[in-house]
Amino acid sequence: MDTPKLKVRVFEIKEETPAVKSFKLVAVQGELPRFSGGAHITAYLPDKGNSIERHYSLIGDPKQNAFYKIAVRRSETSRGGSAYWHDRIRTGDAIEISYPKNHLPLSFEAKHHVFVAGGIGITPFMAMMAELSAAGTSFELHYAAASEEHCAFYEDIRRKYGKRARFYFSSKQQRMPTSVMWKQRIGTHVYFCGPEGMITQFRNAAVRYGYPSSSIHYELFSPPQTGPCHPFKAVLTKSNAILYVPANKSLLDVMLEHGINAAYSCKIGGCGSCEIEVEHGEVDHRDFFLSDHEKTTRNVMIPCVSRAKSDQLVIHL
Amino acid sequence: MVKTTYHILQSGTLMSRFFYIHAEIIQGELEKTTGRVHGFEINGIWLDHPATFVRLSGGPGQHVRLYTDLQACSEPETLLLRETKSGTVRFNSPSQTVTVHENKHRYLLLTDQTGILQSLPLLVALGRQGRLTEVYYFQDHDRESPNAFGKFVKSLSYPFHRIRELEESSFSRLLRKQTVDVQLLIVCDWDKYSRLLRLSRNLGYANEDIEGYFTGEKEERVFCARCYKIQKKLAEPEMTCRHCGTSLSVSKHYSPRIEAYLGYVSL
Repeated sequence: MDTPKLKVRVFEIKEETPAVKSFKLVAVQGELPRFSGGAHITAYLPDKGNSIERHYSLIGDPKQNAFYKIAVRRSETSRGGSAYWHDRIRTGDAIEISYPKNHLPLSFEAKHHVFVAGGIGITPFMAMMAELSAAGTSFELHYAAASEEHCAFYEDIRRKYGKRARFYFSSKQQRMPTSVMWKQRIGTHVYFCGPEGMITQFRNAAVRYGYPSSSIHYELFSPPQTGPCHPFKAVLTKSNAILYVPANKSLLDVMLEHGINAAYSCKIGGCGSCEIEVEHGEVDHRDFFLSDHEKTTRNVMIPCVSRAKSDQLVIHL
Repeated sequence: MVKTTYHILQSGTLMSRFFYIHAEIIQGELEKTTGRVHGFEINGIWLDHPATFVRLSGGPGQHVRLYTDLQACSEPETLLLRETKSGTVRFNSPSQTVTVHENKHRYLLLTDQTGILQSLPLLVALGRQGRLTEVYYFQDHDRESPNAFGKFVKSLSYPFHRIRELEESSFSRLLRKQTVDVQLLIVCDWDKYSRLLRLSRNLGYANEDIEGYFTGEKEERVFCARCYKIQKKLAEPEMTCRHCGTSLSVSKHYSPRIEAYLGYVSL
């Protein structure tokens, strides 16, 4: 599916920590669309003659749209994204990005927001805190990093938010406890972003502490690890196609490779944009978008991450 | 409707007003822990009165306790019930149920005189699970005496608070200072139920934090698409807005936020 794109130019690059750089992006022409706290853009980066897509949270203040700002941590196991940003991007370079999308919006019902960030997981909360601070809405931040030196935006956060922000540095043997969520006032919503293990730990604790599921929000930057993948066959009844999905590819990727007009966005099982109807076959649900109830009662699946338990799935697409 | 059938083990009266039966399942299955049914059958005789139940154990050999209000029964029905010591009791699938969320640590039961029948099985269920519970009883008028109910609640070692009237400013202070691990259980008349629901939601309680149902008649409302005002819904699908005089066609579209059905302008 052709997604509308924006052309932007890299206006400024700043080293935030030894492993994190921030990039200020301005529109090549016209104005940039406005965004809300928690939003992200998809950058379309060249890779060996093709294009790869990578998602980055917008960390700037949503009140202004003169520029977008993102932060990228160099990954030791970069598959092209962070290495490209750190090693090849220069000020003045033009790139294509998507319009902003938001899969981690602030809850308008919340009376108090608790943000829990691990490492580069701080990025979505930067814009959210700016938005809440401007509105005078109550929030607190708990941010774990290796050290002050490796804590992106440490000084900026301390200066702007003071005692509302607490830091935990593993170099000082400081652990971020789940008890920061314990006995918070009614109407508190909790938000997690960071390593999958941290998110799982805090999600489970939030449930134990009595938070309703609608008050628990989180964003993963990569698909959750859910075990080995097996190849399977997908029969698309409306497209009159039979696709073979190997173990190392998702059903969505195979559909797109075959020119099937499938909608998608996050590609990590969190937004539900690619949801499709299943006519027959048992789905191996690996997403974190559908509720447990929906997974057992609705005949749908999220093809960017979910697979088949049986050898074949019949899809209404 | 699926009927479950129970063998009566014991019966008795609570607070001189509520008749109860303790029974063991013979046929069918009761999935929910507590709820309300519209009528029940005792030894082949149907009694068309609301009753509430609590499931005391699950699986085969399920035990249940059923309560009904003798004040709603006729004299012959009351005599029949008081004389029932054995036999079978049957009832349909519950019309309303209440879920006690296990991840919550404290429960606030908000009720009134009309909600006592509904409160009994809830209190028994919470007591059996050792849940921390507080009861807030809204007293409608000074002549009303909830003493018997209050004693019953205290016998379960729960704090019992009598609230003279639903004064929103003072009660909202109480609700506001609660923490995320609290669940509200609301069983009272429609007026209080809708006000408490609105108050709780405005204070930040999520839908999942609030369980319960109302007793008696529900006053439904219609939102006028012309003047945006709200009024009582009538039985007819077409009505006239009493504020602006516009003819309205009442739709099935319901807004939980406004608590009203949308009234389209009739052309």
